[in-house]
Amino acid sequence: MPVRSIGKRYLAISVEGEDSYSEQEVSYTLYQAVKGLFGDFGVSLLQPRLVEYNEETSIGIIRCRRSHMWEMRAVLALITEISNQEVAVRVMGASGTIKSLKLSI
Amino acid sequence: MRRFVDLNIRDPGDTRVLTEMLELASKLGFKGITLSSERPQPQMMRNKALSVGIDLSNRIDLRPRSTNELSKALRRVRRKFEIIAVCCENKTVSRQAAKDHRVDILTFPPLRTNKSRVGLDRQGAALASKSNCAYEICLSDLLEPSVDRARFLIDLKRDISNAIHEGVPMVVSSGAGSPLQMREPRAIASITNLLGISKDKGLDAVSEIPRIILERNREKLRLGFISPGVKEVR
Repeated sequence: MPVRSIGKRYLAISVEGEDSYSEQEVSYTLYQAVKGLFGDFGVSLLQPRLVEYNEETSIGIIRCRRSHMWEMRAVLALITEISNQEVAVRVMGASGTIKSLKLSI
Repeated sequence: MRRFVDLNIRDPGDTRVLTEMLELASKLGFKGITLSSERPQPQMMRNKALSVGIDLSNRIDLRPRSTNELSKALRRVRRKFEIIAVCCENKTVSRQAAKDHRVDILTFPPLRTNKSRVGLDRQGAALASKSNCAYEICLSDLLEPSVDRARFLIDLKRDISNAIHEGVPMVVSSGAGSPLQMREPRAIASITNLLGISKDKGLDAVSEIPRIILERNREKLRLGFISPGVKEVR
């Protein structure tokens, strides 16, 4: 019997701040933000992951569960700092595939 | 298509920063911005906002300590500002503000001292519902590091439950005072998801409800207005 795969959503984000940040810093902040707001159980539900991040343009792609995309947006809205520096993480677009997301932004 | 309006952008006090914020708001997808300031913005700034596709309106945040102070302030500012918000820091003021038809928005700031926070209780919500006064959720309150976020979310959930029960309209705003505090409309609306509000109602709180409040008040500020539905035509 075929098993239905879990639906995913990809969000294109732009990290705006004074400095540029490494992929590791952004990934860590994202994970901690989800954990801080929803806890370990929330991390297992949202399954956040930074798929791509360009340090030069400060644009990245985040993957999360489709059913929890609205919670993921709330997490991103509440991120105010990365490595003790003030930032704003803004969602530029959302899509079901990386290919179409890249076309839309 | 939704027309998003941010009902609370704090005046940065610098024209250059304000222009930057207006441009950013347009880029983020807003069609309207309400600037919270002590004095109304000049027509020149409104024209500048219109040139980037933003409908700029004025708002004042009153912080009265007594009902008498509230009445005096309302008499003084009602004809000058499109939106009047009252920051309720004690129960008597919150009751009076909820009762008064001249008040558009009630805000309840988070707990910063050991004093207990005043919230929107059932009776206050019933009064606000009768006078068509909206309850505001401000994103910047949640972003402040000094605020106990968990405690504040509990308080907000209780307020929202009372507001929903009594049919009080809700608005969500950013409360941004700098470009880095600004968020896109859907991000602001997504906060309501944490508070048990559905996605559609959350989106209405940054689009439809602010638009209705603004239109209603602009109508009232027009010359010849007598009462809702009645105006002087000659």
